[in-house]
Amino acid sequence: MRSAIRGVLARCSVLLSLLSLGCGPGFDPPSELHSLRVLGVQKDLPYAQPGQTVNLEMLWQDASPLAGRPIKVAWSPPCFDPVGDLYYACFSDPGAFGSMLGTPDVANPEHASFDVPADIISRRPPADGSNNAPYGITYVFFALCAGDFTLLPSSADTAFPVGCKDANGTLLGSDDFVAGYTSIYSFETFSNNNPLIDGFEFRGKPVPKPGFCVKDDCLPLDGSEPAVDFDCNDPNHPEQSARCVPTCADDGDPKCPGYAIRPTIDQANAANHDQDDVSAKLLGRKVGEQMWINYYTDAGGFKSPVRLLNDATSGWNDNYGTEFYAPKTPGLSRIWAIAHDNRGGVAWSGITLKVQ
Amino acid sequence: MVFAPTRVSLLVVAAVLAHVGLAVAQSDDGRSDQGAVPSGISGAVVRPAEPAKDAPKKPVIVLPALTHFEHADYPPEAEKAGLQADVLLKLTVDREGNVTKADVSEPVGNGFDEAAKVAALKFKFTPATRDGVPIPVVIPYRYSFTLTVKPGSEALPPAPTTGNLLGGVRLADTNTPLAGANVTITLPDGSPRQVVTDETGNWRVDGLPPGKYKVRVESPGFQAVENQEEVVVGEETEATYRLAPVSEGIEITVQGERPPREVTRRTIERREIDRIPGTSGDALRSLQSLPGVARPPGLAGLLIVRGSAPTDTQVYVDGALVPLVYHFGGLSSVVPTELLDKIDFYPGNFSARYGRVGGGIVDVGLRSPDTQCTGPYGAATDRKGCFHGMAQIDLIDGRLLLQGPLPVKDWTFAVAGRRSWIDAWLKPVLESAGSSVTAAPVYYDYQLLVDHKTSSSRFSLRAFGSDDKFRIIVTDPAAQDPAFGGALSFGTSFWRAQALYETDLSRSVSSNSMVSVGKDNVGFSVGNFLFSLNNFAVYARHEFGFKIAPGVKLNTGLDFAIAPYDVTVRFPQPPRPGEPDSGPFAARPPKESHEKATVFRPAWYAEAEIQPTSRLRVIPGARVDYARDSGHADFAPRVVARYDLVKGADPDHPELQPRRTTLKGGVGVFYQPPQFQETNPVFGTPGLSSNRAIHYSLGVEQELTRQVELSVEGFYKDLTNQVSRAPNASGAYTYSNQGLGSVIGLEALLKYKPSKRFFGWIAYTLSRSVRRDTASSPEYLFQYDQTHNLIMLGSYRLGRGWEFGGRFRIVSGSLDTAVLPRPALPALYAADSGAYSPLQGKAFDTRLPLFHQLDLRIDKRWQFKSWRFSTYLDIQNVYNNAAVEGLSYNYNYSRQSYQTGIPIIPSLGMRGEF
Repeated sequence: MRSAIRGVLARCSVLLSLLSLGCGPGFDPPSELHSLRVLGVQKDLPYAQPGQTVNLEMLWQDASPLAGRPIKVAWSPPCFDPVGDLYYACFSDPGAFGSMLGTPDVANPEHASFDVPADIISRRPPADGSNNAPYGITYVFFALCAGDFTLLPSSADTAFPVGCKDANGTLLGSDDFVAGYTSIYSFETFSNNNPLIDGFEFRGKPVPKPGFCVKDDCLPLDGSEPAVDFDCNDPNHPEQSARCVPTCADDGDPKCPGYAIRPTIDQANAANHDQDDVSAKLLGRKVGEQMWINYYTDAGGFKSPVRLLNDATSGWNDNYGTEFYAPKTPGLSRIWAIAHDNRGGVAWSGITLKVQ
Repeated sequence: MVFAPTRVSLLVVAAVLAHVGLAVAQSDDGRSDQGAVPSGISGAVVRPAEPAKDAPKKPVIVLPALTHFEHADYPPEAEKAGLQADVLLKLTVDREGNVTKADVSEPVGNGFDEAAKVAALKFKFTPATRDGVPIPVVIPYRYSFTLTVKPGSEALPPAPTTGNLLGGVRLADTNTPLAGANVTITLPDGSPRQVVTDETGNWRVDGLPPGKYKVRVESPGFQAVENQEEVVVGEETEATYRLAPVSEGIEITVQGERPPREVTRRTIERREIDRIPGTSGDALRSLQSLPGVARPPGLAGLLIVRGSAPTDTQVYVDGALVPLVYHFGGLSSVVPTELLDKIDFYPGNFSARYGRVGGGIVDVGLRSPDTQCTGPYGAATDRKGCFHGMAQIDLIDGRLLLQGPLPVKDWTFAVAGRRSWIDAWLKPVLESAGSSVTAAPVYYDYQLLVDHKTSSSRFSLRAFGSDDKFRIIVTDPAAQDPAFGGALSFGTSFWRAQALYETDLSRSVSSNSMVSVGKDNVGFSVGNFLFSLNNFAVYARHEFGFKIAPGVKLNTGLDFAIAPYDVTVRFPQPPRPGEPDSGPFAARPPKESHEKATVFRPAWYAEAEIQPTSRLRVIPGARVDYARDSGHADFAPRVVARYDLVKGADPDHPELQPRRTTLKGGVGVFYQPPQFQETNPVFGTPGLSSNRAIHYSLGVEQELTRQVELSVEGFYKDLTNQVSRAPNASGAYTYSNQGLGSVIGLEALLKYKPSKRFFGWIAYTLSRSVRRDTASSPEYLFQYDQTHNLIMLGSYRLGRGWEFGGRFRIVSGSLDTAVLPRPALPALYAADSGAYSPLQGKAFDTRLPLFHQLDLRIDKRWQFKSWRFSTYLDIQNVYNNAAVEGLSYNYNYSRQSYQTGIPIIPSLGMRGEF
């Protein structure tokens, strides 16, 4: 047991020592979009049982100065039960990623689906005799490319086998090529709902439709679509004035006045207080999900870009909103709120502000 | 002008003769004496007469009388120099009255001693008698050499005009006059002249010939001062000396090896530990300034010894394992420096007393309570039975200590406690950062000692413990991994109740026993992940030492560890060592392991300390460890040796002053059981066996001067059967015992031992530590490899209670793992957590830039009549070097920068003690 204690404490010691480190570099916060970005991938079945069909949908945004350029979106075939449950173990078969180079579904590039094999759980090594529920795991990879996809020669076990090249054949970097993965766990009986967002609040007041969007409604906030402008003084839509804010010379800094924003998430809704089945089985009691919200914007900044929504131990945090700081340049500012739970559930909503 | 030598007739020491004569007279008339008279006359010890009615007739003793005086040759050089001297001899006179032996009792040099001896051996006496019967005796004799003017020569010029030497003696801290101090002036002929300071602290010696004189001032409880003063004809030379009290408290010995059982010896005294800059007087942190100990990242309290992982080094308190050494991983050690008697540090090749670890050993010993009484202004006395106390506060904690005698004879106690107060200022900081603080970070520790010490045994009861905890709700989860958000709690606590008994059962048998019971609690949780350990730990040791023959001692002992435990872990599978990052934990379901079992690990060991000559010491030994949890038994033979190529100074012949040269070396086998997560059925691979290491070391210690010593040692560790990750039949990575590795290095320590004014050392380590996961895997640098490590430190007493010190370190950068270089993507977006997962290259393949840092410290102490106050300012990173501690990336790992370490940090502390 000394070894267990020393091991934990050695790791905590390093963690605590890192907390004592001095200043880090001033990188842009991830909540401020300036390039091609994926904001979320939602599965209609975050936990999918064997034999079920899973539909995936991606929310992405090209916030680069070159927005409006063609972006290719591709999905990989599903990778079932990789060795060690490690996502990069899927790269051992780079040929499987060849399909990403093919012609995407131009009608629905942000959508994909796959069928969960019936033996996804049973084909795995036998359980370790503990109380842990048997499961299977599927990884689906996706990529966005401001050029053309290409297969890369393997340079390391962890190297993603697909790249993106421009018209000259030059490989593009992270600002113009984004790749990622989502995982879908499969249990015999467990399931999971995505969080449910009902609306949006700005400055403490609900934003009336169509001032905000939720999931599929967020097309104007999706992909390369430009933001939809509106008139702050439109007499036919007086409610729009509530979404108008002045510029701030500090350009998104905390020195700017902060405007309270948050998606409307009803704690009473069953989808928003799912039980974490895996933890509940282990603990033998009800356990809530760990939930949080990522905020993004393409102009301005936030006081806290990641906020706790629900903690498995302490419960609901009703103070899950944040404050938005307006940019110094007049124009439209789009804001997204992506709600996550710790079992792969995702939901998103968005709002457009006018900065003048 | 010619001076011719002349001789003075016989002179016998009046005091000695008076003693003898008095004894004889008293024995004659039966009157009681003032005490026994050690006349030194062999075969005739005169004892005080006891009045008795029927007292037997007392013997009549007659002393020898000189019948022939031999004139000694006046030493030519002394005659030329105009020197005179009295040589005190001890003459052995036999039954015939011949001088058979002449020894110089008080050498005066300049050839006088030899000349007097030669002459005295030619003396002739009438023999001493006892009741008329001749007897051999030993008598003192003073032979005087004086110079006179030859008759007929010119009249001697007037004696050279002399000068006077005078001055005062004061206390260093307060400038108070010190009465009763001894002032010894060494005359040019080597003879001493001693005076004592008066009530005003002043002294005076008149009529000294001109020249340079060594003046030594000393007083019990104070550090002696020596200086050279010059006496000028017709003038008064005045000198004032200031004495500082001898530093109180314990002497902590940090020993790489305590001869005769280990290879490496490192010694750090209490004064050094208290004053090394950058350590805030923390004894255990001072270990990080020794060669062979790598620099840990940031402020972490990790001991990285000779290229081994921190978990490969164990820390004991008087033989009982403690689960943690530092509060919150590095703030301050759990046992305060004031209660330490020693720290034994073994970087490798340690005794068979210790096992179950493959790196190093730190064995901290708690001191017996201090009950030595002090006089005014801290002067030491011979009295015991007094109380002492201490109160200290610095930027992070406050501590109290009280120690003294118990009402029962030979029993003493010490009680101490410490509590942090960082929660007072950290809580508002955390709350302003958006966290809700349930329990701000706080730590405390406590110690209670009860001791019984006699000349042949020591029995000690202790209770000590420590507690660290904090609980916050992080409402702004980390963007890199939102799993680290929500309710975050951390707590470690342990307590021990310990009994020690050391005794000599006979002149050749010693016994040491230790029993310790205690409880450990470790808990860490965030969100729905947790680690919880409850452990009831019992340790027991017993060792017998047998001197079975001259120069041969056998030590044998038992070492038990029994610990019922209950551990629960609920966490996603973490990456194994060397495995690439497996992505954020945020959206991964946890696995749980719950174990309830009892660790049972007995061990037996034996060592022989063999000293065939006074120069050579060889210690072969062996240890057998059994672990019921793994079902394995490990046999570990070891041998170390030390050979004094040149023996050190002989206290009986200080004039020879040879400088010790010692060769030392050793080889031994060391086993370390696998860690909990490595054998756990859920997270690891059951059935693993112990890691194995063979330590080789060879070195030399060279005394350069009495104050300076150089020690150079090469070491090599051959690592086999290491637990590492390896693919199993299905290709998944698991733990196995296929790992290999090696560590090779050289340590050098040039040390200036603490003197009145200064201590310091230069330590340098050159090393390389590599591993392979399997025999066919490529070799890679171990995570904690640090090629160069140079430390220079020193501290100087300026006087008047001021002391100033500095430490400069220059160390190879640590290793980190970089992401893949272009054209590969550096990271993938892990959509489930909303964060990025880095795609890493080869583990620990990036060497960070060189680290260098200067720390300074200044102390000031005021000694008052009945107490002492001191304060210090310790500044770490004086020139605010932005040392690189790690690689830092932007959100998608496309941009890299450096994470820098601590900025300039001043630390202020104050202490009062009595």
